[in-house]
Amino acid sequence: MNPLYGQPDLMEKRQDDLHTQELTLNVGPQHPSTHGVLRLVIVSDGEIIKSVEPHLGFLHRGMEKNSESREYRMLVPLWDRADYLSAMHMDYMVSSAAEALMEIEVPRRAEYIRVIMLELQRIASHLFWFASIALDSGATTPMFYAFREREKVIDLLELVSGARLLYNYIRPGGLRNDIDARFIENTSKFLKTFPAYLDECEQIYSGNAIFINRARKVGVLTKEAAIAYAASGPVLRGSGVPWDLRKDEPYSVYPEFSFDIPIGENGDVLDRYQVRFYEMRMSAEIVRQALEGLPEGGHTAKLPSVIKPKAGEVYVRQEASRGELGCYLVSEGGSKPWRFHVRPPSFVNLAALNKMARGHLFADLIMIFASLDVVLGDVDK
Amino acid sequence: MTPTLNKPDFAPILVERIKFPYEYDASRQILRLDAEHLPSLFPVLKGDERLAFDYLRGLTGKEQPEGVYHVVYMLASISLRHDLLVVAKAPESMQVPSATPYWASADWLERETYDMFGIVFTGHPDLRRIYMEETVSFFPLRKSFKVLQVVNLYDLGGAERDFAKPKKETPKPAVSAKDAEKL
Repeated sequence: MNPLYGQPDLMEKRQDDLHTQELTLNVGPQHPSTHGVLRLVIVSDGEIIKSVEPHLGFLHRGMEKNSESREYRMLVPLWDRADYLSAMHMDYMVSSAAEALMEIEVPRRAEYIRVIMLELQRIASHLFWFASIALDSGATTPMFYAFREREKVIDLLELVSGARLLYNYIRPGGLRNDIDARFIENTSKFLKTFPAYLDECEQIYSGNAIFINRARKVGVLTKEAAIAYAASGPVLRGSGVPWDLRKDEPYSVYPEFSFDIPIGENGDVLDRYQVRFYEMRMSAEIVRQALEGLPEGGHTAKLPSVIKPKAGEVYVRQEASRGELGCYLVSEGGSKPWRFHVRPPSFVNLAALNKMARGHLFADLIMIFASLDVVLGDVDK
Repeated sequence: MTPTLNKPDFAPILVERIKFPYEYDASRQILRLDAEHLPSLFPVLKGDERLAFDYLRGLTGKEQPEGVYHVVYMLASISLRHDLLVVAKAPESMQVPSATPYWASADWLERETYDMFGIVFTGHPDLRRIYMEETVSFFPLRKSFKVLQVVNLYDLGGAERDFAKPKKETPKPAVSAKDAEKL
């Protein structure tokens, strides 16, 4: 029914007519390279993939329904659990939705600290992705390097929030607490060593001939297909579309920083890989600028103990680690949301997997899937 | 530097191209209409070169307090850099025309909305539940589905009853009456 949007159909392009019997293969839901509980049903011709159909819902916790029976402040720790690898972005999503409906102004210092936390979280999340794509391609060593550096970021986030993974730090109106001199000192120290570390990663892995041969021209998603499938984040930018919500639909204080948006050319695994690597450098740059220009002031706006936004609806979005994280909030007055819909970036990006994997070898599917950077808690909600 | 999001007023284009009743709020970029008019709206939104909405970033449903269901389309145009929220009122038959011929991303998003609300998208190529099992007999995001009423699977009725243990005479509530009040 759907046209292919200029997407090359490698299955049709095959030179030989040596078709074998169709084989249906089940992958998951418990499989190390599905990064969680994802089940894929693959129809293959020999080793060549004809179609991939993801079966979701193994981690479905009914979070949207649960949100309707909780007050706004209770939603922050709940949605932390959705995308557990970038919990700061989830915190910010809930907070910004409530703030947009209440039309409250957050202190500038709080916005600056939010940006620092969101970008540190992006670095941590991308480092985790780097570890997992290296592991999926068969290289074990980069994982130890990536986790060594991720540990430093997690330590920084632990310093301010007290938690290592699920922070509950960004809250409606501002932040849980202000940052102290020790955090600023440790972050500056981290920022000094981080670019050199990324160079080291490029040396040991990005230039590796085996990796490049497995990533180049694999899992191509054309520009038109990426837009039609509403892909977002590094997947969309890897396909050559310059669309980053931090620049294109600016929120928070992002317009005050100068940074570049990396885009790919071919939309293959290698492009998505390089886009994420460059994003880490840019995130470190944003954190550096934010620390330099950190204004004085309070860390939270004064709000009543029970938040009651007026009736209305709002769609807020932000550039999370995996792409566009949107939240459609409907309030009918009262202390609980009437409808709390979340647009998870992993879910929408995963829908294009079938188009990307068709015609490739089964071994390539693992690389294509790893390049999407999917978190199943985010897909299943 | 890339230009930021535009906020153009679509009212003149809509007046020219659309011949059915609708409400348009230019300050908040929201378009409201009945779902039966969607088949004639989609080609205008996607095809008109002044609108050019090529990016269906999100699609969901919601139930109004009076029991009417809405389908919400979050649209954006990457080429022209503007966005629009379309809110369509579903008829009582719960049949809404599918957006899949125009935007490929509608495929999974409509499946999710069907799974959660039971809104049937006519013309969808593969309308199945996406998160829950096909045999499940309820739609969880409807307001008539109360989470706290479900003490065990038996209460759900339908297919779930077959999987449930036989119901005890006095089932112990999963949430005490005191906690239920709080929630």
